[in-house]
Amino acid sequence: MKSYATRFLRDHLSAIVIVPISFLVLDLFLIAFKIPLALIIFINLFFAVVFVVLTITDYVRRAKFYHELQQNFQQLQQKYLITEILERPNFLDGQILHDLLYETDKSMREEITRNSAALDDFCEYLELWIHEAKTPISTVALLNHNPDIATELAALDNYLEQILYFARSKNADQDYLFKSVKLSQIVERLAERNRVIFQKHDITLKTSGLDVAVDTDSKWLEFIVNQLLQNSVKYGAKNITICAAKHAHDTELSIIDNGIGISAKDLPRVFEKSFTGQNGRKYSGVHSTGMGLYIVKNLCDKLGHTITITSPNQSGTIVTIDFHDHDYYKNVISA
Amino acid sequence: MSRITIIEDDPAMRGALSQILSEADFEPVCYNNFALDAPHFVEELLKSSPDLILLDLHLPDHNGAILLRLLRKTSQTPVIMITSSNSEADEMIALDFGADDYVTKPFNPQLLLLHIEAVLRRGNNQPSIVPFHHLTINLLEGSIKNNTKTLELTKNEMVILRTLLKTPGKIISRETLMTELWHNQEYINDNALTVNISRLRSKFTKLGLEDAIASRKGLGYILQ
Repeated sequence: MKSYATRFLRDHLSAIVIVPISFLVLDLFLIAFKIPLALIIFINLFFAVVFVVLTITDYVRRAKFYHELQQNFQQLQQKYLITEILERPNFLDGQILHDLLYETDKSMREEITRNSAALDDFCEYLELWIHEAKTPISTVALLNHNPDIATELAALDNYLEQILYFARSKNADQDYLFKSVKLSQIVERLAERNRVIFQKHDITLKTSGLDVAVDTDSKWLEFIVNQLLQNSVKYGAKNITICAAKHAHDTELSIIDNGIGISAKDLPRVFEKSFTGQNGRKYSGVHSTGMGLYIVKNLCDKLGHTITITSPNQSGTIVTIDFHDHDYYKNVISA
Repeated sequence: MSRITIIEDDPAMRGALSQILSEADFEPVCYNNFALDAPHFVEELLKSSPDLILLDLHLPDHNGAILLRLLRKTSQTPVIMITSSNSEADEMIALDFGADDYVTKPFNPQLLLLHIEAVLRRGNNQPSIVPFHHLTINLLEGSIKNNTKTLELTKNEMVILRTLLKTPGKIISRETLMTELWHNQEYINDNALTVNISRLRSKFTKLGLEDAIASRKGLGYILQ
């Protein structure tokens, strides 16, 4: 972007050209009326000085305002707050601009506040609603003796959890609580929860090395691992192995299955929102929303865990969650 | 028979819980006089002298956690919290305020019963050495023996036998056995359960006890 000075000069080009020309014409008249030369020179100089002084003062006032505007604008993260840190200028068009901007920003901020309040309201209601919905589901689960219905109920519960955690992952300051959690404890809970589904699909579950603790929110992690297990079941796994390995600075939890795997083409995109890929579209009987892994990735990012998915030889899937040992968490937890 | 008081505001859920509990030979008492204020609520509640209380964390006029804290001032009756919340904070509050255990909605009936039994058992432990006909079952060592011979049991067989021993002479469903096994981190499938039962049976036979475990087709097994 060119400097304000050059742009100002170009903007005032007409005045800068027309004023000297009109003086030349004026001078011709003055000469024709036989006005003394000294007086003509004086008139010329006098008005030249007035013109230059006027232009310079005009320039200085504007340059100060616009320079400040541009600089503040670049530094600001929330651009719409610009009028809050800008002094009202002392020239008319600047004042008009400033006042309009101020009103625009004000109405925009009001709109944002209204919207975010509406969103908060909605999320709050959604969470409440989900908890309400869980009561009838539990009642049916208690009265039910049919394994097929149990499987359907589990699917319904799973969808409810997805939306619950989606809402939570969107809300930056949501209620997660870090503490030291044994991985075995989470896997045991999930095994119990999914027993009927695993049995229905004749899936063998193996676990090893889970007797290690990581720093995380146990509910969030339970949701994350459960989504991964649901995917394994969905995509034809018959063997699922859950294992953990503790290294010097981190702990890795892996969920390994022998399902249909993920094609190399789809693999880089599995965490994208609404991405269903070949498997989601073609694998029979599967309804993929493309949301599960997206939410999982979001939650992992929030918790500071790294999640990776590989599919060696494009058969079977290995999902690894890496829990880093941060001193920060240690301090938070012991505090 | 243990008396279990259910504090749950949803009538359907209350009915389901009390049905499950009476089927499992507990004496369910529903307590739903939510109009009382918290201290009186707790006072009235304890009058029925329950052995265990199932308490919903979210009640219409009361906060389950506050009721629990009031209750803990006067009574050590075991409490299992029922929550529909998936938040770590709620769970910590429940346990901090003195709940013995908690279950998260939705849960299957066997799992709830398992938690109830576990909490009730904390008071009075299952004896570790149980005489059975002419045999002695040692639940601590995981062995059964007659006068001359001792046979070791695998972990799966132990879990199965322990479950059957809780209610000898009554049918235990495969579903219940599976819940117990998975609860003990033995993630076995249907076939493996059949195999384990027949191994257990043959161990009994080797020690001279035929037909210790009878099958009831479509229902389950009986220890007799």
